[in-house]
Amino acid sequence: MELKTEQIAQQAADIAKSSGAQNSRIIVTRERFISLTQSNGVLESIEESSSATLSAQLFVDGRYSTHTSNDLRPEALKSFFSQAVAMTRLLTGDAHRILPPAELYQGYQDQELKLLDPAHSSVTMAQRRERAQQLESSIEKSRGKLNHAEAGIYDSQTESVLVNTNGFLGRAQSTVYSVSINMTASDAQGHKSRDGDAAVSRFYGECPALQTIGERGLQRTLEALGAKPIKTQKLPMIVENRVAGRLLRNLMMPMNASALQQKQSFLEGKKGQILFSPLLTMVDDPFILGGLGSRTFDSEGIPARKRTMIEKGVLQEFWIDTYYGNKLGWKPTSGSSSNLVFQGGERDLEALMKSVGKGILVTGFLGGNSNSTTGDFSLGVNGFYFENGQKAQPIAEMNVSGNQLEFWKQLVELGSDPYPYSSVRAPSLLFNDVLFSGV
Amino acid sequence: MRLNRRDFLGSIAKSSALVLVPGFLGACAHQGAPLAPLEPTGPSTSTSNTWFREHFGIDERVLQRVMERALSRGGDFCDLYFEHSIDHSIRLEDGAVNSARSAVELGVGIRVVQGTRFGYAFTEELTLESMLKAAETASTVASGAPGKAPERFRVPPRSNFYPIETHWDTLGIDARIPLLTGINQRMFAADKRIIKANIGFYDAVKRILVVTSDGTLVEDFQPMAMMSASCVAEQGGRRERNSHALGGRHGLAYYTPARQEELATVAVSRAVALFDAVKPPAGEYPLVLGPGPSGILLHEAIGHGIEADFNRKNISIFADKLGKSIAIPEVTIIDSATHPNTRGAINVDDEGNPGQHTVLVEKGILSSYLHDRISSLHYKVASTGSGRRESFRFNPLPRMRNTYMENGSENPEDIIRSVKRGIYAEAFTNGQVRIGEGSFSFYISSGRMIEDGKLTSPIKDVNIVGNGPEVLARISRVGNDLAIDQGGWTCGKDGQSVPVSQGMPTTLVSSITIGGSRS
Repeated sequence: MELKTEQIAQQAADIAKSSGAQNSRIIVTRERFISLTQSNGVLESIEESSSATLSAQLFVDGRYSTHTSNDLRPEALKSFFSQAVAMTRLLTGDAHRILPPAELYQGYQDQELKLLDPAHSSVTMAQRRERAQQLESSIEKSRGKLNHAEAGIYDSQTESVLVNTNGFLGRAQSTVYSVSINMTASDAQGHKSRDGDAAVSRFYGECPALQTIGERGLQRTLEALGAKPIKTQKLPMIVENRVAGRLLRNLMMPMNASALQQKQSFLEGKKGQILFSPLLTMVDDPFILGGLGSRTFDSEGIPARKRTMIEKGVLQEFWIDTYYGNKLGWKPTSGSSSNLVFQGGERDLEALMKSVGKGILVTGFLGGNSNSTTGDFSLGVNGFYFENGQKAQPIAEMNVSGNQLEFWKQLVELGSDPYPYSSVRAPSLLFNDVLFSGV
Repeated sequence: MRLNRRDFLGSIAKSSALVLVPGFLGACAHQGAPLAPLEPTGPSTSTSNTWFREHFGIDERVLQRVMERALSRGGDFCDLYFEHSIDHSIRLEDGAVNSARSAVELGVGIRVVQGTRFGYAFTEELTLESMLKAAETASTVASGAPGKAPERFRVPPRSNFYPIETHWDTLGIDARIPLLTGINQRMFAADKRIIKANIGFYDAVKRILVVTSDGTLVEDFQPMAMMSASCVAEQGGRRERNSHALGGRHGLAYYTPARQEELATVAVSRAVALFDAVKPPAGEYPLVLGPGPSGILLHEAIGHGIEADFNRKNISIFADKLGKSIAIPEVTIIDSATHPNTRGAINVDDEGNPGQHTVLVEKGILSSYLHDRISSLHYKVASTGSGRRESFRFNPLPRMRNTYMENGSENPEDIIRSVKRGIYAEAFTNGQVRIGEGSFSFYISSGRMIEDGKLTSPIKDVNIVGNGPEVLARISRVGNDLAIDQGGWTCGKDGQSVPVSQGMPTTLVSSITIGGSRS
């Protein structure tokens, strides 16, 4: 499969060239996935398929366009590219649309990042069903308290090849396995609670204990029963590691060159300034072994580099792709993040709660948005009101609003608990004086 | 916490993956844009039900062989969903239409169902060998005596809810470009404070063939178009951005000069209005929902909660509310596939059932769930034609189409006048719901304060949160100005996105939590 994918990509680049595209970027991705769900002791669903997609970015007479197709037969590709090139010629030229500068490719190494489990193809359906069964039976003792529970298994193997016709060829292969369980419980008043837990790993053998996942999901579901809004007030806020990435993504959007060039970023002109709590250090690290965002090159074929984006509250870098970098007159770095790693603190979630005594622990966000032009944000939250470091009352249907530039100065502590199942490895975050809107 | 194929990395930390996001750049819309006039269909009509046979040799023999394999281990029924789609999008940025995108998709999804259990597999190669292999995979969910493929297929009658004059796949992108450059000029002409304009245009033609083991065979041709205009304005060193979108299952003729003007002027006026915006208060206040896009309230507060799969599993907060009073008698809520040219219109659903009009709440009484085939068999009722899927890569699920509230009797001005201090909401970016708890939220991108019965200052970005059944019970007045929104709404569920519409007359919710930042 490896050689074939590379051949398809090279062949497509050749066809693109003979069709009239002086340069192109070709990405061929092949994927196989299997997904099972299990409920009430029986297999509820089984899905399995393979797919192949070709994406071609064409540079034709100073013009640019992108095309994707899942029909990879050479004869189909010929007509696909001739139409794509004809379409590109109808656009306005744009001198900023070029492949990344070739000097960025120098010294590129396809280093081993432990992203591919060679055993993936030998995992059997019986093993998967066994795993789903074990996960579901982890909550067996509490079945009577639940309306419904469903365990899910998903795994996939992906291979992609990227060719830039100015001298880059990159290959990426990875596997991912996830296990998840979700459940619903209700109380005597008819209130319902639905939650669960999940884990992701790159290797079949690295799945955490299924019993723990089930028990944690169960605990989360049961202790949130009866959640309701409390009165509008200012309190310390702890955001649990599992959902902290949601907050951080709001901060990442305006750090993109496209947002900056399009004047849709409240961070424009603020590089080098202390904008956030001095405790906030955020590193974009593509080289973590087995990391869910790990890579040796990005979606443009720019070789990966480790970069400190925010250091002790100072904005250090932006995510700069080739196109918007050219428009801004900046050197491209990468237009997207890989793994994000944070300088963590000393204490875990429990200790954080103890240290503040009273506050709100946010375990989920509901909708909301953040305006990257102004930094204004507003997010629905649920979780727990806690006193003396102990959960006192589940809360829901409350909201937190503010402006990012003020909000991140209120960050007073980071936990010691980076979330391992996301490319954003956020720890729990403690903020002071947050206004919770409720009843 | 189900992890979906599409976004398992991104959404792993979410415990309820039910997000309503705009299809394009941020959806906004305004009241009362008229529906396109009904016109006869163009020459390449899809009513023949032979397109896949002519182009890919999918004839009855092929269908029978694949179905026989799918039912070889038993199962109550199976269905095949063939799809061919061509999408185009072009974008104007910094004054020029200088990027384009196209995508071609082809494949078939095969599903075998036994009770409420299903097996699913797809293939992107429409060869008999690949289809038999996928059928084999899907069959593994079943156990029992082999089933038979139908000897004959029948073609059910089908409406045409989206007649358009010219199909997008017959037009070059040069036919689309002048629309974008025209809107760009109008935006910069509309206000000197505009410093950036972004215009995106998306169109698609999707051909589907649905074949079921009880002998239904039906094709559909589903067009789509969406134009979105957004702009950034600058004043005294401050910047604000806003947007507007118009679209549906339309052809080129929909984008009249009047609609181009609307896209430009609404986006611009919403952006510059934000310079005068105030921070809304935090806490519970009355909320007046303007006509049109406010249907997002219905989508989140009740729509997802009455999708039958969540009720069959006793997950939804609405699971015990069928036949019960959940709102005042002035409230009647519909989910319909039949509004011409709306995003949520479908001639047939993705399980081969005809597009229908479903009354969800009749005069305050919850009267029906939204059913796909699995749930209709489970509940022993007819399907409401709500089985939808993102593409051949996914199994169908009960989904919304065009969700709206029928007109009440009140004058919209009187409703606003009745509020001493509250919020008026007219445009939104996104919403979300937690099905079990019933908690939902939606985000206002354009709105105003109401003070002493009058609309006053615009408000900044704010999220509204509430509980579905509680908020429905607090709907106290319903206006007579129903509008179906023409914005680009896309609904997400279990990692699958489908186009939807929504509508609303001016409506008063007596009290709801406003996520403001002023205490």
